[in-house]
Amino acid sequence: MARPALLTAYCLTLAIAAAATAVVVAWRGPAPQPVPLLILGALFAMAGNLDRVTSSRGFSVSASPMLGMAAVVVFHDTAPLLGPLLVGLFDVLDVTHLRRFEWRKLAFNAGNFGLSLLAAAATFEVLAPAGPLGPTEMAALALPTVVVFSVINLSLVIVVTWLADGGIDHRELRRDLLGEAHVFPFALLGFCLGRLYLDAGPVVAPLFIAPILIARQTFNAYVAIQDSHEAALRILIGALEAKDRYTAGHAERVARYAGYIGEELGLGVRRLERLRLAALMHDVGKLVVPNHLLNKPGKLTPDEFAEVRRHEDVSVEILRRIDFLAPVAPSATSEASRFEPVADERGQPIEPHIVAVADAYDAMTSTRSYRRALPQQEAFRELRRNAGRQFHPRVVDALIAALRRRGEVHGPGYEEHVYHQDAPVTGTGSAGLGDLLPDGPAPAAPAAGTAGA
Amino acid sequence: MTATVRPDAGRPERRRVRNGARVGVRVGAVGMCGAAVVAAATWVVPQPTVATLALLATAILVGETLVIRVPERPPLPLATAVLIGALRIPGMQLAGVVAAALVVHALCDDTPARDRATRAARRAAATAAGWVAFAAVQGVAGTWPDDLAVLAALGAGGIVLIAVDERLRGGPSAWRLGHRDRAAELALLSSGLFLGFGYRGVGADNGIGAWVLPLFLVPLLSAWYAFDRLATIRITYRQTIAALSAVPELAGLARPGHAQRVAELCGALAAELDLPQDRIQYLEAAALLHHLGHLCLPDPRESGRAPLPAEVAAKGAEILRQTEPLRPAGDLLAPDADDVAAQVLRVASAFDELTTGDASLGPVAVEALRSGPGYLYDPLVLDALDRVVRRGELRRRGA
Repeated sequence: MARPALLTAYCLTLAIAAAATAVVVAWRGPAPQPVPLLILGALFAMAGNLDRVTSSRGFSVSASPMLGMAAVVVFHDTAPLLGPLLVGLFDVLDVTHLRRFEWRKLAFNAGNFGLSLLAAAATFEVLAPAGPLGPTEMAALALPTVVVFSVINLSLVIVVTWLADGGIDHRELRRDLLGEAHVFPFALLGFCLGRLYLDAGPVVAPLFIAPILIARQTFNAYVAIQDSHEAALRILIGALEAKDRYTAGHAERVARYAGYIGEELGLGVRRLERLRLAALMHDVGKLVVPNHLLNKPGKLTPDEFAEVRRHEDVSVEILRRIDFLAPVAPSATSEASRFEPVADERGQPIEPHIVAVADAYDAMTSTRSYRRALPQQEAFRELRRNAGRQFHPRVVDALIAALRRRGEVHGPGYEEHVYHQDAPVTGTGSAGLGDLLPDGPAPAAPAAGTAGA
Repeated sequence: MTATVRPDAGRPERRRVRNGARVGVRVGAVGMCGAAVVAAATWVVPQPTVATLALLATAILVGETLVIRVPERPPLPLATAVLIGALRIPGMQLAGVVAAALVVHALCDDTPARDRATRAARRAAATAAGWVAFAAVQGVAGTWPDDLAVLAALGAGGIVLIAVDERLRGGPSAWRLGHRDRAAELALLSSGLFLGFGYRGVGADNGIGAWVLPLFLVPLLSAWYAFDRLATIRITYRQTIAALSAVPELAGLARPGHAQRVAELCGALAAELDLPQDRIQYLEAAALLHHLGHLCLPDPRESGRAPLPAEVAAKGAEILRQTEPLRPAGDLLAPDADDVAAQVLRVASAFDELTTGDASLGPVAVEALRSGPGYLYDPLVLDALDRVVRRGELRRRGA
């Protein structure tokens, strides 16, 4: 349960506490020099305005702690407490929040950074020896300083999350705490930056930030291109599939399920990207198969089956031409994706198994010319039954868990388009091609029988 | 001028498996020679420490192998930033450090000997030019405030270094590109200036403080990472389109290699006609995919009638227009498109239908296209085709 009144009071208290401390410290001690204050403050505000860059493991990296630590070092000799505190208060210049006039967020962020940096600066002052600081002293001081900063910062954030959401998500909390580990190297760099600022002058700050900004911009361009690339490919594949109505939308759904499984199994960002693309293109070879074979109701003759089968080779050939996908090209074949229990799983790519399971699940839960869609529970049962024989057991579990978590249901009644209203109700044959085999394995569900011939 | 863009131009170089032991011996021997050179340079002018110079040499050596991949242009080595920062050390030592690093790099590389020598000479010349500019500006700026003088001298040296390096390398003219595409150079320049300023910074007595290097690496490596991801996704994008272009051929609906040859010819014609870079990009995508629509039309083996080229083009355009990034390519492909790029595509496709990749048929095919009804093909494009064919730029390949 959210507590709006308490939340408002909390945010305001933080901001007022920070401001009051600033006034008291300013009254008792020397004022910081304006040039470093403005430069570091502006950079600090800029860091707050940029979105956080999320690393491949899901930790987000922000430049704020680094700049805060630089401020602690820069103001060490002149205004040791007031300088960092004021730099922290610069976070109030958050354009997004200002534009929407989210004053509670503004107050909280500024107060939080001001007080955390104040505490860090105080720790630094208490521990720092007299005289100039060498690299060794700085390395030794960086750890306690940044730990104090992190602890204060995180505690204040936890309280505000608790007040705003009415509870704490333990998974998220654990991730935040683990993610906080990256702060130390950045804090050390901040110390170096602060020392360099003192030694080499204010010019170093913009020179340091400029490439980072360029990198950010480039990274954003990469993300934009990647998104539009995937979208374009989805549309292209979809349009091409349209000639073969029985699998309309198949590739896109397989790519989506494969993405779910990959996320569930904890694959990295790059592998997920590759998996989704490979799943999207796993059936591209089917485009070379004549329509009348694809849409033929019932079973194929051995010759026809051989021709349909050729499409796997074509798919592999096409995936191989794309360097990024070449390592997972076997995803398009049914041999490579067949699960063979091996003693040592390391080094065996799991992608073909993921595509195989996603493919089979979609084949079962959608209506085709030779068979009606199966209910989701039956598809799950079929996957589980063949887990360890045809399908990789971990992949099957991951798909089921991922779909349950998302509450997605597929199967009869949940299909977007059903082109074959007159399709026979038939066995559970699990993979798309398995159904078409002239002498394929007998369908498993005894009740359904082999009505498709 | 040659066709500059090939559909597979961005294919990343595969690393060759090296003979580890032999390379190890070579690196060891050369490393010792390099250390001797650095030591000698230090002995001549004993200002920065040996450790500093060795650190710089190593940084240059490693930086020469790590490159920022930039679209449509040759890659930029990260070492450029180190070289810019190193302009601040005395000239003799700079020469020693750079020579040592470049020689070691050239000896450990596995490209042909001639390329390695040219490359090393080019980098050395660019550094020398940069150093001359640096020294000249420093001479002029003698009375300026310290920071400003160093900034101006380093900036001038860095810009000259990068410019000379790119000029000597040739390739597509980088100077015609807008400043937006200069982001990678700007990142290198800025990092180089940062290193130059950090010289004698944190923890340094008489050289580069070891503490400046990690600080210097952060922006440089983040830029490198971002550009690398961008380059990878662009290559994947291109290769995906090239791979899709093969589907109609594998389905027996087009001649093998047709789309690829048409795309290459379109690139050559576009360069000949001086089309802008972004048009060329879409033109090549449209050329690669111009038979794609065939897949969505009734199979000729079933309907007994092959679709007309205009029908194929219209279907392909319809598909491409549904996608955001390929919409301009779809507009080019549409049968009613009549700008120069669309004309180029039509001419290139008709030409390849006639020659089927046999370059010896080229002149005959040009005549055949010319003698067709006058309004069919743009005479300007046909003239360009004539020039390209006469120069024999098209790869000779059997039908």
